[in-house]
Amino acid sequence: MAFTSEQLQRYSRHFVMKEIGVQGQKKLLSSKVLVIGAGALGSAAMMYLAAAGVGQIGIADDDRVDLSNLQRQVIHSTETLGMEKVESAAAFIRRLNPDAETVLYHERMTAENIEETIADYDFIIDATDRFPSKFLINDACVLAGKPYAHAGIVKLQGQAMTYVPGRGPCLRCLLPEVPSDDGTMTCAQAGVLGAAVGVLGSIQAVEALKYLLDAGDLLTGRLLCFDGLHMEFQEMKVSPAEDCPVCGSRRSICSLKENRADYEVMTCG
Amino acid sequence: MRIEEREVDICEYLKHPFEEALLLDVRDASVFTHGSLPGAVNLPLSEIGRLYDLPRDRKICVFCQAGEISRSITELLLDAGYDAYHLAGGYREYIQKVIGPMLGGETTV
Repeated sequence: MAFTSEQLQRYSRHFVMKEIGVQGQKKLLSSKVLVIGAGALGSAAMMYLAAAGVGQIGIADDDRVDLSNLQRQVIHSTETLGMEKVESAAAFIRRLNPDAETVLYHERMTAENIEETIADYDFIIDATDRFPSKFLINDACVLAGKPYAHAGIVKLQGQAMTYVPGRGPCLRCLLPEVPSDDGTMTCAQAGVLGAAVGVLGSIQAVEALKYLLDAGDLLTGRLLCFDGLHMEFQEMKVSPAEDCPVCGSRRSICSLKENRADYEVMTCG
Repeated sequence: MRIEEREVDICEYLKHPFEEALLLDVRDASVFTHGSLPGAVNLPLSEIGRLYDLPRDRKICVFCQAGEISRSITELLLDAGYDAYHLAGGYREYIQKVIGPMLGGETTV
């Protein structure tokens, strides 16, 4: 089906790019990306996925918009305080681009529901803010053979990496065990700069779009380390670990439900 | 319909142009007014929303300055079922290879 006059105008900056063009835009409009977490990372990622014309954006979050979120979760607003984050995000997306349909999951992802949720999607974005969730997403994507963009940040230091089945390492190749709560600080404790998170969330969107378009080089086997304070990017090469518990040849993690202790989030306020 | 099958060098085309074809110049209006292929119609990128208002009853031959943007526009036309062709090389090539020799010297555009 040909584009509408509105779409010709809306995506004109895409049509003239070799990497996108007519076929690329059609690919985006028929793609499905799931964003797990409608917070700071998710805000940037969702805004740009919607702007680019990704046809279906899944949004998973069980939280409501709080005033302390607005310093960085820019998809929400003062007007949506108290609203469920998924609804708030969907409203923004609708206003930005009606071509982007949203599917809302008003729940936290767990070992019980994640497999069924990710099954429908072409690419997943880990926009969560704690390690147990990140490991759940990693393990679920590895077991299901789904590509995803990993990112995490505290203060102004963050990292990003992309997992594509068969094309590189997963998160556990880098960190075989979930870091303990004493070893890591949450954003509430350490603080975080909104714009710095925005950089990483945008990087996740770029990775997702490149994957869908089969363009450029992804961050597979590459840990991109971002230091916003000194504005430095560094890259660490990461190789698939032969003994990785979930993607290695002798994997020990074969079931999310059996491994659920890894994914339990300690609530520490 | 693949774009590759619908590309023809602009100078080659002008030696044997289609009868009744619409020549579409997709460069900016300000550039168009300085000169274009004889008989060409201007539809700059800023007016891309009107692309599918073009008549469907004739061939459309698209060109731009260098041949990059015109390629994308031709793809869009083909996608909507137009009988479209891309004039590769663009206006720049026309000036160098057709007008230049007529003026008897080097021409840069």
